[in-house]
Amino acid sequence: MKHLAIVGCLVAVGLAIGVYRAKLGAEETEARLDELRGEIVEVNQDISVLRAEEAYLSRPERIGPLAREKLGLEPSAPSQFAASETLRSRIGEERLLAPADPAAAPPAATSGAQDAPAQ
Amino acid sequence: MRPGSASDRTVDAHDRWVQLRVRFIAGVLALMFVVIVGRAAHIAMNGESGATVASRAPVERVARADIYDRQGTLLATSVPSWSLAADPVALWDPGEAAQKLATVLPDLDARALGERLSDTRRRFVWVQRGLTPRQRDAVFALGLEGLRFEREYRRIYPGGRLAGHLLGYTNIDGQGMDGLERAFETQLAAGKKPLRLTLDAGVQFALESELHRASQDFEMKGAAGIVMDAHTGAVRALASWPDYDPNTPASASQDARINRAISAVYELGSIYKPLTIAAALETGAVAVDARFDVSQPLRIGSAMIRDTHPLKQAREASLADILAYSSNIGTAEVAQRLGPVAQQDFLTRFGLLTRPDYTGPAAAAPLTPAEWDPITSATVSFGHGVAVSPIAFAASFATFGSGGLKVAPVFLEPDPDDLAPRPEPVRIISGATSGQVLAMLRTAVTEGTGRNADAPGYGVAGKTGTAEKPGPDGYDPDRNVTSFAAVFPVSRPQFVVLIVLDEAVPRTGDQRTAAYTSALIAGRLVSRAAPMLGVEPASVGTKGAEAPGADPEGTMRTL
Repeated sequence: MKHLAIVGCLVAVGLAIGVYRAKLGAEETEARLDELRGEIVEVNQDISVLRAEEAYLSRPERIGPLAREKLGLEPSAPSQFAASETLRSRIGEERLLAPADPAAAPPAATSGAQDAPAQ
Repeated sequence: MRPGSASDRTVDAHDRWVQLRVRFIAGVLALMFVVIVGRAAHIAMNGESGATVASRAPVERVARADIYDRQGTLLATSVPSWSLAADPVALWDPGEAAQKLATVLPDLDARALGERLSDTRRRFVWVQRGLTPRQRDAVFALGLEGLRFEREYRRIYPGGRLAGHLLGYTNIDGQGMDGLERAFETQLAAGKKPLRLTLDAGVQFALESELHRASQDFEMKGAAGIVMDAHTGAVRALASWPDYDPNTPASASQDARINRAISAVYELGSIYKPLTIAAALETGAVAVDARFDVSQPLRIGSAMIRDTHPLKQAREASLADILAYSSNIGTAEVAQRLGPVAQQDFLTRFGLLTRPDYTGPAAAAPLTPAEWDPITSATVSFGHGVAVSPIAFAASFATFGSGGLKVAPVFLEPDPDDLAPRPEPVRIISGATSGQVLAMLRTAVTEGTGRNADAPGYGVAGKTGTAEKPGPDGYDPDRNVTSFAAVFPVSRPQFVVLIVLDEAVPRTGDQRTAAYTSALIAGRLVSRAAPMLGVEPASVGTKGAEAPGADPEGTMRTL
């Protein structure tokens, strides 16, 4: 009976320690979770600031002149478009990349086809 | 000392008393120990009462939702900022604190702040809100007591003036005060989903640039412009000039803050003529090949309707001629055949006699005639006597691009999660009538008053409108509202453009009619915006491709 009581006491103490450690671990994990949540909030806020900066830097009024001055780009003009039918006879032909042979050139149905970029 | 003596008994009694006291104290100490151990165990197992882990978690305040255009360009967002508050009771010297703060926060009025900080009945006073990180560091460096920083969100508009009128702005507490910020306050304040607009930032910029350019080419009081999808009503661009930066709304004048495209109403003049003709064709009041004698002024009661520029074929003008050369006489004759009842009915169906009904920034209510007598009917037929907001007119004009269906302005892209059935489209005029009027509008651009609006390859079909502004002594011939309403491309109508200029006078000395003002701006805008809108240009000079409905499936493809 006496041994049983001692064993019982030891088991109870062991369980108490176990529960205590589990509690402590959970608290530490929750604290870490809070910390991570805080970091997520911070990072999200940083992202929102960076997005705003990106949007500010890519304003059309800034990008337009830069594209024109640095890259030589201009808004597209109707003459740069062509109907697919006018290209059908040219598809697969090397003339798409080489200078066109006047004799074999497709009928000039559109002025756009002549001006169409070959890239 | 003898045992059993009186003195022995005294000693025993004393010992027992000592033992009793020792046991009592030991018992009390044991009880205290048990209580302390019990409490310690309780705390170890259950944690401290009143300080749960959750309460220590940082509380993320809900940021107002972002606003994007349809391509994903960020138009409005909320970034974290700091606001400085003070506890007057904790301040040692309020006056000195105010002076020091004013050295790092130049917008502060040191004297006023000093007075507020001296009010010790209060425990919380805002010093300044929306501080930058640099300002926050500078305040820290002052080392003042009784100050604290509150973390908040500040609304910013990275595009600056871009779509400023349409976006609106928020107050210091982050509540929408104007524009879309106000119209969609509940949705934005919830912070759950960003708002995706139908707006296209590129087209919006093109429109704003053209209005700005107009302000350089013309002396003018104001301007408004709209680009709308003719089928869905999706607003691709909407601008008002003068504009303002929603980041600093307080610095804008009251005049600049008016959104002339939505909140103002104008008598828009002859751009009403296509509506009158469409109504007359639809009811059968006139045939599409009808001819009119517009060579003489038309007397209606006491009023005389005249044409400022007589038509070449004035004795037998067609409906297309009436539109192309903007004949008031011809349109008034058409309105007479249509009748005032049918005219009102159609204008109501076009949505021009009532406040527009749509979800978004509320449009101004139209100003309509008190009574609809024959003179009113005639003047309304060519756009005088009824004042509407440009957004309402653009939506009504979209009917010619939608094949006769009613169109309402739409500001938000459809939500893919919204499975609610779409409302059935309402037909105002037949597809045939719509096509006939569209062809006439194309003629008005190729041969008539709208020539300056032609954008090669994009088949603009439109109508000029020049309306004298009403003044205290009647209509003032020296002050005009000039407008141009268009649908493009005519071969496969996709978009509506409306340009309205208030008192525009060309600096070149040209006439101040719509032909030389708003039509010019509309043409430039279409040339610039069409590629961004994915409109495929027809081959320049190919007449067939520019006829209404010539390219219903969009067979043109870009490289």
